Amino acid sequence: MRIGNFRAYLIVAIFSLIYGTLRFSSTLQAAHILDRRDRVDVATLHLQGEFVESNLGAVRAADGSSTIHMIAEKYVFVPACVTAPVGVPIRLRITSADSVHGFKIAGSEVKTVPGSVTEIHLRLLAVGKYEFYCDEFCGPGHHAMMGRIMAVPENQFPPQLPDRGVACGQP
Amino acid sequence: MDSPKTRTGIRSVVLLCIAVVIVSELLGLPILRRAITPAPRPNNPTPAAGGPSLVAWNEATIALSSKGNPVRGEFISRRCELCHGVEGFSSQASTPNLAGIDAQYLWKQLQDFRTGKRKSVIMQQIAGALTSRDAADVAAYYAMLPNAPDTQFSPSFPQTLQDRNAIETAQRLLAVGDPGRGIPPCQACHGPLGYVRPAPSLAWQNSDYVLSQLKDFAQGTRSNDVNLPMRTIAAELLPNERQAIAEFYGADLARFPVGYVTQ
Repeated sequence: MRIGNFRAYLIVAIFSLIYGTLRFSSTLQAAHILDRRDRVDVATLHLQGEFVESNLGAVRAADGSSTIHMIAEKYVFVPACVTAPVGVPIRLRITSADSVHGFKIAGSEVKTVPGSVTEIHLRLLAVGKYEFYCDEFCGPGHHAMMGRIMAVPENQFPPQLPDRGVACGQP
Repeated sequence: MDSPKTRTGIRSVVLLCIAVVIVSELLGLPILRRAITPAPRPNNPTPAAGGPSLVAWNEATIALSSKGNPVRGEFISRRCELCHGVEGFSSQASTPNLAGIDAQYLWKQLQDFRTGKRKSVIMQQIAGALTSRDAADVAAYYAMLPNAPDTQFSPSFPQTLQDRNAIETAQRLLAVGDPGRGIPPCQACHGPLGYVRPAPSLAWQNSDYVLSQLKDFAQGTRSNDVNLPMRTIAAELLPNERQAIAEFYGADLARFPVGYVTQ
């Protein structure tokens, strides 16, 4: 059986479009699922990886941007108070040590999931105190699960210490 | 009718489609390969030795710590009796009561004493002589002891309340905490309202011991709380609040959820 050239091209083009779209989206999805960079082991958060104690809090990269590492757990954010510079891009990487928690700051909200890292991109516009809290009910202490980011001028933000993030208070 | 040159066989169409499939699969491979390659993290410091505790709550440690043999644990507990009391209620208020304690909590503390993650001259020696299995057994024994003191062994618990005003402060902190400062209610993790592994129940704990531990957490001299919950909270508490909480627990006022029972 033979068909016209135009029809043949049309059939191949439609097939390519449908198959290509499905394959492309499923590949991206598979890549996201397979991506190990945002997976952490809940049991050994304190022993290995980016959420060890000395790495919590804000640090400053060479390009001026800042990274904050934080753990949400029943019923505190650790560190509960973070000092961060104003006006620079801030990458907040947060994970959970037990159940699903929320992280709500200034009208935007993400979930923190045990075993996975949630990344938020922030830019603090003015000096001051920014409160954030958990808005996903996590147990009888949920209402008190709050923390704060203290925004300071960029030149007052302490330089990166060799073995410790910068937080107001402890560590 | 078209001439044969402008017509295509169905076989060629199928072959072209197969070619499209192969090309798409090949194009997808580098994306997947990039995903499964672990990227090196610039901020990936700290050897495990610097952490708060070497205990990781995986399936093996949970099974080991919660399935101790209490009968064997009773024999091991002979060397604990002198300080922690025959029935797990100590005669000195500065020594913790172990009766009815959470087995996983006690096992973890013994591990931390063994590895030097929690500092105590006496306990580091005693726990150092135990194996991980011994610790699980003795934890199972103390976990099954009744949580009411037996007066014939002269327990120090319950202590008399030093300051009646402490009750109000303590009730507020136990029941609702202080959300503005990020202090959750004590009873949400330390019972009886809720428990979080491996937080110990404090309802029948000695006041002097609770106070000393809160101070140590606040100053960082005790630092074996995994992921820093207690160091964060204790540092936010004011000295008089720590005192009030400790006295409230020591006076045996926290057996029932605060704020849920009318008195």
